[in-house]
Amino acid sequence: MTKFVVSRLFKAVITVWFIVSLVFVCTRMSGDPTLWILPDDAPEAARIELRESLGLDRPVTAQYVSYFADALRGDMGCSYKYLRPVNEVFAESAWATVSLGVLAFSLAILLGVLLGVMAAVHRNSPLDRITMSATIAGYTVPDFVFGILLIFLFSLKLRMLPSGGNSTAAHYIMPTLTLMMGPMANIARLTRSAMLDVLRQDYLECARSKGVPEIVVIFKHSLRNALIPVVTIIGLQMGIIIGGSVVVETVFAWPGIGSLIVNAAKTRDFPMLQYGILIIAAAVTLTNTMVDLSYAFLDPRIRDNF
Amino acid sequence: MTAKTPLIELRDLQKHYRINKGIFGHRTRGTVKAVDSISLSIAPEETLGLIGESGCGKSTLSRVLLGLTPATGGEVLYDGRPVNRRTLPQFRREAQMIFQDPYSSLDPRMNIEDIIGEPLRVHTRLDRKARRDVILPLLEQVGLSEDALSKYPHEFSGGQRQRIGIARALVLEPRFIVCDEPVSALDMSIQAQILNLFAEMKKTRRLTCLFISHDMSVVKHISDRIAVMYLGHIVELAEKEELFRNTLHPYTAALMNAIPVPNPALRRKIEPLPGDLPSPIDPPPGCPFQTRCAAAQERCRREMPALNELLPGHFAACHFCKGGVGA
Amino acid sequence: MQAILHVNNLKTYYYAGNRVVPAVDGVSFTLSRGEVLGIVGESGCGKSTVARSVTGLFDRSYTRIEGGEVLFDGMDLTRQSAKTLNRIRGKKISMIFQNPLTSLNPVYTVADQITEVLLLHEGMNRRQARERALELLTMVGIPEPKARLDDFPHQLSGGMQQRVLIAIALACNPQLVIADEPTTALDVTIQAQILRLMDNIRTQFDMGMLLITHNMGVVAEMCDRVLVMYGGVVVEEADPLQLFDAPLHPYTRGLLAAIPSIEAQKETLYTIPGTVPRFSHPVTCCRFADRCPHCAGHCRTQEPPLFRTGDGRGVRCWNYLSEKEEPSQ
Repeated sequence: MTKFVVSRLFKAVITVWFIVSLVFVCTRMSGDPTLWILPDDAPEAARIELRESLGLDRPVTAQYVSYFADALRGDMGCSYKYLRPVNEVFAESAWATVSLGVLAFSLAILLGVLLGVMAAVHRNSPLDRITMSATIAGYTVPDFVFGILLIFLFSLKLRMLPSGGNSTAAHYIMPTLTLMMGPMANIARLTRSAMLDVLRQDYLECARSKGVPEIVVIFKHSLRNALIPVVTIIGLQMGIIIGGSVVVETVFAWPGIGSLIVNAAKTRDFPMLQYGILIIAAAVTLTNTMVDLSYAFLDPRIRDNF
Repeated sequence: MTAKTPLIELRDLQKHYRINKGIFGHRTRGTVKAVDSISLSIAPEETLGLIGESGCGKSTLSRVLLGLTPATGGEVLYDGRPVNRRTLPQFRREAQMIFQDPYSSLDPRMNIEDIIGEPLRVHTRLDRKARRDVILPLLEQVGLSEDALSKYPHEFSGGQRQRIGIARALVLEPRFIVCDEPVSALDMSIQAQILNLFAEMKKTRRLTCLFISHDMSVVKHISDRIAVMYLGHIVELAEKEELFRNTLHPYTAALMNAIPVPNPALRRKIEPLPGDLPSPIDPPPGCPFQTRCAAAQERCRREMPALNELLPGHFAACHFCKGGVGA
Repeated sequence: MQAILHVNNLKTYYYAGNRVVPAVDGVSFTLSRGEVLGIVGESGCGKSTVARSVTGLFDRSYTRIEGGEVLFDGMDLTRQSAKTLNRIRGKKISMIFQNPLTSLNPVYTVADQITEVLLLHEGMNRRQARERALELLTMVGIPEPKARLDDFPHQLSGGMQQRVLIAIALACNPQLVIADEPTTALDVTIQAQILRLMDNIRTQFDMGMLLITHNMGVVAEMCDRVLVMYGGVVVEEADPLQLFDAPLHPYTRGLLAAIPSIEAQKETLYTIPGTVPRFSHPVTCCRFADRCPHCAGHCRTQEPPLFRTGDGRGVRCWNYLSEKEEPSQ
């Protein structure tokens, strides 16, 4: 079992390394960051000097090696724009994004699973049909459209909620709703179909024949089995939430790392971009690794394979 | 027996599966010896029944025989010649299979005409009309009507689907058919219909058959000779009446004992065979039946008994039965 | 023998769209302690529905008990609330199902699944329940029971899984066990073990057993009395010796003739012509009429009642009546 855990972690590390390498190579091919740092009419000599100081004139392989050598010592580089270590810059904005992401993610899972279970148990009832139609809207409407609609309704028309920034608890409401909508819809739909599959199984009939009350049959006997496929996409939803953060942060002027990354891409701030992608890759990979490991916990049949 | 070339001959046929472990699946944890050196021959127009319980390897044997999965050792001879890459297409045309589950062996998205016609499309250059001319009389012979052609499998009952499976297997006029538990999933009265149909087809088309089942009474009804399989090995082989009259191997005897007979006057009071079917992963040396055999001795644990001809035409793989253990 | 279950004219119907399917259309029987009553028939005859109707274990969104009564322990089970039924299920009436692998929840251990019943009905605490589970595993003949307690169902063989199901069924010393094709999914040698085990338990605990099967061999081997079902009704009732020796109903005769036999060599097997028709409520003829070699005019216009013979048998056939009447004519 430990061998499995170790091998999964090892594979996760490889994945992150690969992604960062890919970004590294692509950025070097994307163009000249000095165009953003120096004014347009700066002399060519100044640009050459700047590139030298940033180490961009060396061959890509040399840059690559020194990047990773520095990274292993904890030096992730300095932002071309902010002229400070990138990890400091990100750390300042981290809480905003993480708090929003965790909140949206947790609510998406909780409500999604609950709705899915209820829809499955009361299949074809009005509750089921309404919920499932709503979920279609949930994952087809792009989050920025939804976000803007919310702002329009609650900030402009009803003047109930603030539209930008994150200074109070009330500021969290709309961005959370926007961010959790797609994932919650996906989780609800998948939970419903997984539950429907499980609800047909013989072992539920056996449980009922033992006199087990129906609510226990649903939540103890069925749900645990239905969660196995659901857990897979929960891992994927994490990626969606992280990607969604970028958009949501833009729409709601949320001071988080999403906007930092977008700006870094626009201005070719390579160290910022690399670090940002590293964080995202690490978060998504870690979540998916935990999902993989949780299978073994949820489904004992998988444990035997190790 | 005559010196006719057997239509099908298996020589030391083997199918081992390796269980892999390690991060990249490169180390072997064990070997599943699904089929362990089986030698068998089936004479032309003979029906050989193969009986055994779960895990004995009978289904694997049928698939390796037909080339649906490659053997890891030994060879299959068809009409005296080995089946290899060159001779496989011809073999595939003349050797067909009827499957166990009528609900999953027909593609739900193909209509009956397509299902039965598919072998013709693969192996011949007949056009649609010519194919129909072949399919229609066959359909009638298996007891279905022409309007079945445009229908889909889900519109038919289990027994009817099995008839379709039989038609599909016979459309290329094969010489050899493997039937893998074709009636196990059917009700008693439907089973009888299918068995009768099968017996008739066998006779009119002079088919050679390998009939696999776990049901002794069905196997006895349809076969000429019977082979008993246990954990990848053949443990007894004899002409059917002889097998019942003179059971040699203790496993065969236990099997016969265990069958509930539809005759209350014969309620068996003999103790059922104890123990579980053993796992085919890394079996112990010696006789495969040693873990459950009441008469197992030291020699059984060390030495694998060979399938010897203990009586004329009657083979058994046991160190200690010298003829006539009895049922 | 003390009678524990009386089923009187039970009718359970399925509602599919606007069709009403009379899956069980008037079945009556009595079961006593220590007795094994077999219900035999082919698919669609209603035997499994009868088994599930006793404790109401069916999907209420399309199934309803339309008539009759199930008398057990001084009450009519068809009129009880879910709560009352839950107190009886697993405790006084338990069930054993056909496919042991799928009847056990794959994510819980053997111990969890056995102790669940004990915690629910016997008021034990976890430690007591676990000890009792160990006793039960030993009783049903599982080797190394202590190790097996923490195994998951997929780690056991088919025979072991069925023994676990039997242990669960016995846990609270029920009066009645309903076994729905308990050995159909098992290999022959394992089947023999399980049947022997069930027989021993039945005698040891003086339990009544309702055994549903499609295998005539099992009927001959295990049952004290047999009901043959076809199209939702009982067409013949007898004890096995009577049934196999001299079957009265044409369907029973057809069925017995269709089975390949180990002793006799039949060239071709008898086949009952046609297939089981789909019945819709109400049924106004003999259900076997279309396939019966002895079908007469009477058979198509009125459904025969279950005639009782002198020696405890029953047969639902007009021809029986006329045979009986002939001597007096």
